[in-house]
Amino acid sequence: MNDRPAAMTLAEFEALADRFGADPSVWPLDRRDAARALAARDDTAQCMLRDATRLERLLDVLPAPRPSEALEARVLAMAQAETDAHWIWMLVARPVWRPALLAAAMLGGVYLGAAALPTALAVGDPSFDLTTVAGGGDTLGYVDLLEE
Amino acid sequence: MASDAPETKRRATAADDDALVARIADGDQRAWRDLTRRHLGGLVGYAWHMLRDRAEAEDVAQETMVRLMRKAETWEPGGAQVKTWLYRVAINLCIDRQRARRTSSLDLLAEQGDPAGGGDTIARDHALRRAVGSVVDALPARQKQALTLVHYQGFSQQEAAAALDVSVEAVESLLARARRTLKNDLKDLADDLLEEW
Repeated sequence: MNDRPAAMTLAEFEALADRFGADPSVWPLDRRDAARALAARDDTAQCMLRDATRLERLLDVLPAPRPSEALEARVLAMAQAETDAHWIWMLVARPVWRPALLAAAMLGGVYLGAAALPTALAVGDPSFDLTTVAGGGDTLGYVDLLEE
Repeated sequence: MASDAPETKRRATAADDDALVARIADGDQRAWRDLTRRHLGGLVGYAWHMLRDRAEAEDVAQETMVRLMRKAETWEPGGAQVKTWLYRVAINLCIDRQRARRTSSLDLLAEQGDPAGGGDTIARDHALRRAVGSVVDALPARQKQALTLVHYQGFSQQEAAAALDVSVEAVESLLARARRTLKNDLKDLADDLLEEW
């Protein structure tokens, strides 16, 4: 049985150079030896490799800029902002905290409500007048209704 | 098929990227820094080759990273590679910008590279960049995308196929057509300049 790879034509050689570039070591494994054999004995194949190499070097005259320090700083800062938001969300969203947060919110509401009440509401204060609490003279009609 | 060593390294990097994204989802800033340093340069590079404008390229790279951060919590390891996902986003953002803009890439390349004075060498280098840039930018979009990913970003053809959402054979075909065009057109355009190479 003959394990030698099939000989390569120049057309196939050129097609491989176009598909895979100038370095035969990255060409398909089963065609590498045939490509090297052709390049070793054929001037046209060598010329094709030189053209492919020159093209790759030409493409390298267009080097892309590196990211600016400002960009890197902006992108890294995104993590800080996102992390802060993440932890706040984790705190609020965790079931174990929900009753505590609810209780705190209720206590806060009670406190604010009590603070908003007039001091005249103190128990036993003779000057207490329902119209004061209800918002003044405009609500007298409503107070009358209550009395009825 | 190429040697397995680069492919093994790529797989290790992909798994590492997945692990970094999982840590980012838990609010790990060091993981974000590592992932940013691994991919930001490549994203800027890809976008610059497609747009030829540094500010726009940096905008694209930043927006791509923003999208990854938003995606981190729902990221499924073992699916699409992080790198592939990032470049898919960047490819689409570049397409959007190319559609929206009125200035050609070549004009932008000229604006950035015009020598203010300088000697013959600078002028010649500039002419060479313009010649190469004009031919590369005239390639059909898909060919230019494939060439940029493989030549400038060092993607394997498998990675480029995943990023472009086409088969490996299609990438090989895109690259072959791009290289044939470049060889022909650069020969016509700048023979005198190329002699020095």
